[in-house]
Amino acid sequence: MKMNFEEFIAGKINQHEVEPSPKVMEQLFAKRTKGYLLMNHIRLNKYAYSIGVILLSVVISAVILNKEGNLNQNNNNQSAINTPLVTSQSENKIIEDKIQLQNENEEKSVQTNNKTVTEQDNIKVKPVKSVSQKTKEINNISKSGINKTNNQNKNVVSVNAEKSNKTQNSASQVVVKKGFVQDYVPAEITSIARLKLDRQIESNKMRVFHNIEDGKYIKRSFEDDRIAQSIFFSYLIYKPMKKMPSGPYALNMSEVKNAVKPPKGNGSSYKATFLDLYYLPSFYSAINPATLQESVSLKTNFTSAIGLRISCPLYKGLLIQAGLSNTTFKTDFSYQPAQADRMRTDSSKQYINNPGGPVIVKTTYDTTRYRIKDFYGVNKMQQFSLPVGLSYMFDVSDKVKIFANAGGILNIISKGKGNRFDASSETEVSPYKNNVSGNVSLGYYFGGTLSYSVAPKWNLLVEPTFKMSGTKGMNGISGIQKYYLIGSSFGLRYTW
Amino acid sequence: MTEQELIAGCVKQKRSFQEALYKRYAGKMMAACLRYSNNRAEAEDSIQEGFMKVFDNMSTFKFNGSLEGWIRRIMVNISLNKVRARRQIFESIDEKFDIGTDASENAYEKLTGDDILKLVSLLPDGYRIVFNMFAIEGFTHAEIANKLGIGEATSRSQYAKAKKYLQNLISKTETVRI
Repeated sequence: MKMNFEEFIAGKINQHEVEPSPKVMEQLFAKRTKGYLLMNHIRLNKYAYSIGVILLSVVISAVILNKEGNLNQNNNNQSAINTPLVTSQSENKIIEDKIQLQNENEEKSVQTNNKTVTEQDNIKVKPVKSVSQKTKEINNISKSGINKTNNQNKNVVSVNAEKSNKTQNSASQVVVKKGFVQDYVPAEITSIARLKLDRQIESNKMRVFHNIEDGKYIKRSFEDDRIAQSIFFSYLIYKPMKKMPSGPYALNMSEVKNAVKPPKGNGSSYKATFLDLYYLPSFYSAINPATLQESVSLKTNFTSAIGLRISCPLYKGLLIQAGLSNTTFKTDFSYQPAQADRMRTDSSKQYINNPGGPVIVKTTYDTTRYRIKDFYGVNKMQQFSLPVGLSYMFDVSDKVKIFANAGGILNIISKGKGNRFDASSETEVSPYKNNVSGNVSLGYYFGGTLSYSVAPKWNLLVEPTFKMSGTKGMNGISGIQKYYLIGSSFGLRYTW
Repeated sequence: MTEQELIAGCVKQKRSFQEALYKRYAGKMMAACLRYSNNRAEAEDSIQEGFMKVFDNMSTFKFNGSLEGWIRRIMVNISLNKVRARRQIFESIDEKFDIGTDASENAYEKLTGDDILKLVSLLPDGYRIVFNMFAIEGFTHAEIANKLGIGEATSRSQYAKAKKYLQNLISKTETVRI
């Protein structure tokens, strides 16, 4: 035999078809349940999901670590708050005036409440001191500082009372309004009161606080203080700044602000979490070699996104950020063919079996003439994005901070509408029909953030951003459709 | 519907596109599976399993070759797995079958694809599988040896005998027709 035996057999067999029974198709699609498809989707995207789970774990860990960091920070702030106890002479004069005003009020209340205060009620009695004596005591404490006070005095209030009793006359004895309370109620504590009254009656073992709202004195130990701060951490620091007390204690608010002023972000252990709400208008360019017609027909490209993002501190000004945004892509297509007239020829073959000779092949040609119109179409697509990345903070000033951001994005198409024009087949195609659900892809972003503080916890944001977003193949588009976005977002940042 | 649209639809797991793909290639794939299987039921199992894999992994298709070739490769691999599961014995069968002589050129001209498929199905299992892999799928003997877990020399000898055997069958068919 002259002809190649293998080629002959392969040529004959490869074109041969045997129809399977219809039940094969039925059983095939019966197996493809939603659960099966979900598991298959996870299997195919296992690396993307693994990265997502890892990043989510990092974010959660960062949030937890941040809370622990705040506890440590509060312990540090304890000394910061106590620092102003070493006062200047001019400040003492202000305090002296306040105490004088206070004494005048207290003397009035002594006459009405004198009977309510007794030793049997376990109420600590604090004697009223003259202005000069109080000033001396303040100066003594100021010079020695809180850390130099007598550790052996478990109840400074009582000691002070004893000392005062020796030197004061009986006419000026009771200062307490309703009395001291033993139970510590954290919500009633204010650091303002602590700052002021610590100067007079604080030791390493015991402090007495003044409740601004109720006019009560509250006594608690350092142990109570430590426990309270471990529960309420930063809440205790900032709450007094919101509740501005009336009367003499309101005068030194600037002192409190200085005491709790956060350290610089870059290179320090600054701990703060940011919650951002932003709007990102941008222009984009769609690039994909498989959809060449877009590069010639794409007219305008515009997106707008709205998003929410949380940034948690990791280490020395470095933050991890994650969020959710919804981006709307708007594309205006136009296609104007150079020649509108077309001719299409379709052929069909019919094979006729000839038992006595070779197979007869009958070919039929159909020719159609048609004219294509100019195509205009507006496409709208909505895409949910889950950005996860890192940010580094540069502290420019108290009000201005700059951040450098970069990270990855998980994109999920939520819906889309509109038609495109497929230049190869010269027909309208709907890229979104039956191609929206499960269209998940990965992208990336980088940019910078300019933050300007407009209130103690609120900042305005301007954020130039570059994003690479993508979609998987859709009708008329094969492979990944990439969108390069350039824009600047505007937003509001809440800090805590 | 173009092949690209078909692939894009299958990537999105759209049933209408999957049905279209199945209808387009099921016949050819069934014929391919039948060449490796003992019976029709096993071939249908193979294409069912094969199309499941095709639909599951359509997003991994890289457009490097034809879609039909890619699907056929999946089907052949599944069929070969079943062959291995059957523990096909590639033993010498010279004693059982008369290999016969070469067929004339005239005999080949009259053969249709269906005729050849039927003749191939008459080959003993070992012969048939090696013949299919070498002559039709285009595997080398080294690849066949690797896939079937046999020696390369065994693959060569099996193919030579299969070829001779098939030529003899074709010759006999010609005799019957005359």
